Amino acid sequence: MFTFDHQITRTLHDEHLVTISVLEKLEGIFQRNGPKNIPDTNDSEITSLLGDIINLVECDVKNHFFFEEKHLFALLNTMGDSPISMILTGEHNVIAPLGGLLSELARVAKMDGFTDASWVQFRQSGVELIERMISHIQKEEMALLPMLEDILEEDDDAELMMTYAEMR
Amino acid sequence: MIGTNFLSGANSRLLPPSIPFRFFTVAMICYLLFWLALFFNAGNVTSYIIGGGPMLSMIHIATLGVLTMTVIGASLQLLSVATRKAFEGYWILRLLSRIYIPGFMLLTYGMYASWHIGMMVGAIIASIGLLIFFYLIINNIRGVQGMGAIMTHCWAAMLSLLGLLSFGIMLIMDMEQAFLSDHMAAVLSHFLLAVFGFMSLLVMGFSYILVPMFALAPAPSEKIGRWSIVFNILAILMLLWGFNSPSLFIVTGGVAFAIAGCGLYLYAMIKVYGARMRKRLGTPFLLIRVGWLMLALTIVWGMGGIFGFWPDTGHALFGVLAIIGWLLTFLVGILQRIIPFLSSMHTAGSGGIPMLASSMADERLLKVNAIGHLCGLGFVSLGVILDMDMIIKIGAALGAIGAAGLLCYLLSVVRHLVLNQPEKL
Repeated sequence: MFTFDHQITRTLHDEHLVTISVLEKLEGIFQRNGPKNIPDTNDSEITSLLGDIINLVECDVKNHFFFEEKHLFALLNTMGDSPISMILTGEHNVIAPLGGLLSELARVAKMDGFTDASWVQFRQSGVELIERMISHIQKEEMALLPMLEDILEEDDDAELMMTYAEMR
Repeated sequence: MIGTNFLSGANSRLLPPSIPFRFFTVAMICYLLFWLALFFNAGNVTSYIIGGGPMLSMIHIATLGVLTMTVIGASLQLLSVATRKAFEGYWILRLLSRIYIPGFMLLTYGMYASWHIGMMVGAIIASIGLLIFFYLIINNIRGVQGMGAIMTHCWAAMLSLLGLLSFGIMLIMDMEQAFLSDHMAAVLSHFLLAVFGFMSLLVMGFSYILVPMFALAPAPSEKIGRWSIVFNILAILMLLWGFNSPSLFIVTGGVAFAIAGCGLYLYAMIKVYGARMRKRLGTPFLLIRVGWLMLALTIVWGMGGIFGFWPDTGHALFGVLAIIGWLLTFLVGILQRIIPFLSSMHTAGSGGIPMLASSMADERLLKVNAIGHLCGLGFVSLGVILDMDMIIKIGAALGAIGAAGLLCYLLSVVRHLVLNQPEKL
């Protein structure tokens, strides 16, 4: 896998791995269940996936995005590399509400199961989230994390890691 | 690591979409034309060796029309991002398309009609276009720090381009004046420099950036990339020497270096693919992996030919494996990923909500393309092995359906780009 020397880049990379793993499970469910084929929420695989989605959005997506925007993009902007921060922030603004909607739908489905309408909405939002998130992670892995590896000193790394740990 | 930090500041170095997409659109039209030409020339595929006419035209529709056109569009866009050096004026990139595309059309028509003057004038115009491309690339990569392996691939590919243009023009002149002492050696040299020198080296060099990016995988080590390109350059030089001396011993040495160079490239790519974060990579990577397999088969089959193990149709199968199997399959797979990626970068760059690639075009068309292309490749290869025109025709028809799928996909994306791009295209 990628070899990142700094703690903060390693942590963000590990979160990307977790996110991709959940999204791939979700993609598998969508491939097996079309818009008219509602999955049984009593199925342990579905229940566990719905829980994973709620956790993913609450912990990884929201904290991850907030931390990047407040601490990392600000750092890049001061170093004059703002275009990538602008692209990533633009994507955060689309992905975060989409993730929030999916998480809410997952929460309701976990309690009451899916209806025809809620499954269609869950599926549409999920498919869009997968596409947007994968493309977003691609940009972070190929641009943001290598840039941070280049510019961060050990002290910066420790400080950022401490800040992120407190947020989580 | 090769090519990490690739996307940094990419948005500010994106070319206007009309530049790469004009090359991609012409390439996809030629891709469809190529399969149709193959359908109508199926009876000549196994017997053709040299000379003007529809077969020569068809081969150049594939090499100059699909492959070179795609390589120009992709490398103009990718290099400026990878080297972090923007091209200074877009007018020269547009001039390149306005010279190269008509030159290519005249050349292939001249070849089709065995019209020598048309062929010569077309070759000169297309060569001027390719010399502009040479200037642009060399100017962009000169003095770039880091990414030594990728830059060496670009240098070697560009020097091969000069060689293939020289041999190409000499071959056209030789059709009328018969001044070359060994026309066949010049044909082999031209083919080697075009397919393995120019196109394969550029494709391999850019693979070190694109494959890790699209697969979400670590970039391969710089060391493997450097050894691979060193072996590949030695292979091309020795094969050129061996074909023109002629010496089986030197050619054998060249093949050994080619096995080492391509083997290292494939090893690096397999490691990248195995370490990917994203497990489901869809149809583009099916094509890319088949392309890698075909590269290995091309080398093995080529080796068989050098040691005299080919049947009568062996040379035709070698052409099918190298051009359709390796280069076309791999580049079509890469295009399936580049088109949505570039289009989403452009819509993101316009300041609005980044558009979903899936909302710009029906992604089922990509499956139609992959199935049609792979079935086309399979049937054409089988038809060549069995020397049966009807099987080649079936393959060409399936390939044409696949090509039409990708062309429709591209046109749909272009339509969305035009509708959603506030800046002048």
